[in-house]
Amino acid sequence: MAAKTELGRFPTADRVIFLVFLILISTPLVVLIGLPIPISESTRKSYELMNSLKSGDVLVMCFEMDVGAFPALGPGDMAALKHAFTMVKEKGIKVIIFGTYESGVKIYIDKILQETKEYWESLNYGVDWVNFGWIPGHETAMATFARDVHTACSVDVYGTPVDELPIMKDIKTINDVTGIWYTTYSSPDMLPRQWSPLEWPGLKWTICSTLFGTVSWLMPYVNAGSITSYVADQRGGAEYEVLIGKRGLGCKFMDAQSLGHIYGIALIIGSNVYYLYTHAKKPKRKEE
Amino acid sequence: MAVILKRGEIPIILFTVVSGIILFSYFTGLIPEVADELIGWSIILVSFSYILGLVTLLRYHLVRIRKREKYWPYSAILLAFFLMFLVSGLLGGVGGYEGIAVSKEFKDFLWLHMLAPLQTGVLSYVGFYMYTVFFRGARTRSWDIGIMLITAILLMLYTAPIGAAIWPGFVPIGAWLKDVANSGAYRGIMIGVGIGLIALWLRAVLGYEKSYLGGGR
Repeated sequence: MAAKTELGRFPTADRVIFLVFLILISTPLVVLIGLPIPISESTRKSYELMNSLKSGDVLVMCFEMDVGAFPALGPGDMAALKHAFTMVKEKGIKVIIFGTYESGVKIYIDKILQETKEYWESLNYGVDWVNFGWIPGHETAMATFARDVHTACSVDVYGTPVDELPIMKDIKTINDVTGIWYTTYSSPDMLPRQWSPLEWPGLKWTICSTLFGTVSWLMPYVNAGSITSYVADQRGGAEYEVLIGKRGLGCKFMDAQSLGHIYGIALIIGSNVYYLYTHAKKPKRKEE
Repeated sequence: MAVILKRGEIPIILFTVVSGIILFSYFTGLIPEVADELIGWSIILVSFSYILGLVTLLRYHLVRIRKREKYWPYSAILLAFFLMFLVSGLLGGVGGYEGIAVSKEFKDFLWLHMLAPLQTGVLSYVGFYMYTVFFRGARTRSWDIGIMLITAILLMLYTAPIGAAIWPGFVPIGAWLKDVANSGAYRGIMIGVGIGLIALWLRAVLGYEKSYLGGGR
């Protein structure tokens, strides 16, 4: 009964569980179920905050991400990027992109920009939007960005000095930024600690896009107002896709998630029925 | 002079002064330029820590290969790929610039089409184990476990659209569990962590906590 943990030596039951799981989550890639996706209050609020940006407003999109977490948060980030770049074109907002986390930020940003190329290729780089890639230092870099943007973002990914980028001319501190879209697949603590709208009067709002398990972690910050809103995991990303009217990867993943979760629940129920059945047949021991 | 430099008090004094200045500036808003300068130094130190990490990693795996320790071929593979990625990063160009010796296409292939799927694969692997746990571990042996399993099922039905399709009532129940019940528990954890950090800082300032100096307690 004891599970063998060496690679390739799983018990038969585990292999069957893996196989069924694989078939179930792969099915929506071939056959779309297309279940309706109810929009949560937090995602709707996040969308409305983003949509409230006006001409000349500055949006910072900070991706504290590793490309490994792309399936969970990538769809939401890509939907937000599409929304932001559309607003650059239609409303004349400014977008600043970077990340400070040590692990794979540059690769992640490259990937989501590659996936949204059609939305930014006609925009004027350096005037409408800018990409600073990875800024080392994580929270210290965030703290520096808040107080002195030009020190934190000294050169963009192309090596252009910040002083030569027209978009950055009037952005000196975080008070010159209107809103922040902050994605993290780890701790959200840095966002309210360094970039809280309660501390910086010029900063109107912050949105945290994070994993579902982390939402409870950031809720005290949301209730206190140091994070304005949040987008939760793959589900939040799918909801954002629905809101901007561009169903994509997130919505496809939702079908797979539905099947996967139903399978998980079936396993839990099946396992308990089996346990109760076998347990009822065994004589009771004193220790139990 | 050498004796003075080796004294354990010097790093503790440095830690106390630097952290004290940053905390003082954070809570009072005074001397921000000094605090900013110190934070700027830490960014430079972080960059140097990568070089230190690189040297340590190379030394560790080279020794393993030289001594032919168990699973040493994995060390060789790690070093080979490490060097390949390092070279592609250093010579593969930055942003729009073309690389010196490695084409941007090759670099993109390595990073986006090799590293990215591998990282995603490793993370996704956890999902398979979770489903085994559902079958093997999620058994109602007590009331506590029963409550946990019911909560887990409700949250699974909340996050997946199929839950709302089965019964719309799963949405408010799941939202309440996530935003109220679970957040209350997290708030307690966060307060505990905050108090623990203050205690740790005080221990470091008083010289009781020396693990950050590499010397244990």
